[in-house]
Amino acid sequence: MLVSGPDIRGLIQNTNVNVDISKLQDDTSFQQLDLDSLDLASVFLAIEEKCGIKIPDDAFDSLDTLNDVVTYMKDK
Amino acid sequence: MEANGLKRGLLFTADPYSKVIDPGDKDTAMLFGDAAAVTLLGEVPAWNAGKFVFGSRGAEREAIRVNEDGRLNINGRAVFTFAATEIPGSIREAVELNGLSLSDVNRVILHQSSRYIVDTIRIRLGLEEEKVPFVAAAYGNTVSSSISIALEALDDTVKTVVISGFGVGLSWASGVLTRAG
Repeated sequence: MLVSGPDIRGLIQNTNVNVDISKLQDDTSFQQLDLDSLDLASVFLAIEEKCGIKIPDDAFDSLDTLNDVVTYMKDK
Repeated sequence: MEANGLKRGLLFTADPYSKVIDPGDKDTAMLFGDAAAVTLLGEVPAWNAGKFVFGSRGAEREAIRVNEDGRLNINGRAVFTFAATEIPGSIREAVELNGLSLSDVNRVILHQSSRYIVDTIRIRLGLEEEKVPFVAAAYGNTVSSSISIALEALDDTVKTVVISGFGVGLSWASGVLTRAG
């Protein structure tokens, strides 16, 4: 399933994640933006609901950038 | 109570999670507060209870549990996802079951699990912040007492309330209360 960095940024803007989207580049670490575990859960839930998939916990723990997510989604 | 001809009762809730929290667990240590509440159930109520909806996802019971070492363990992502995906629908179902719409409701009192989860559910319901308050900032998640404590904070102008509790199980219930008199 093809999703892009802009797609995911758009999803994030519709959540209550408090992040400056302009600082979220495709290779920016989520950790660097001080996104906590609930923020990430919110982001991944938005992706799951948009794309109709489930992202397992082991993938959730390993995906740290938009590029990681885009690459992961290509195989789904 | 009705089925057994009982007319008055006291419902006590008390979940001192400080007894099971690992102080080193950043996912839980800052969330909870110890509290207890007691509610008088009787024929001259302050609130009339309408119809409720209930549910449980037993397959996800491991998301909130006390381990063999006596410590609370929570899968934050699983609990967040459960609350975000299940509770808005439960609230809409309860409101409809009581012949109402969300616009008829003065307040939605959610289990005060965390501000983040309360805000997430509120946003998914499309409601403003005043209608879905988070009142537990000073004392945290008091588990089974959280809704009772939040109801006490309401003023007399609030006439119709949806309450929705969720958590261990993973289980949930939502229903409507209307102020008596």
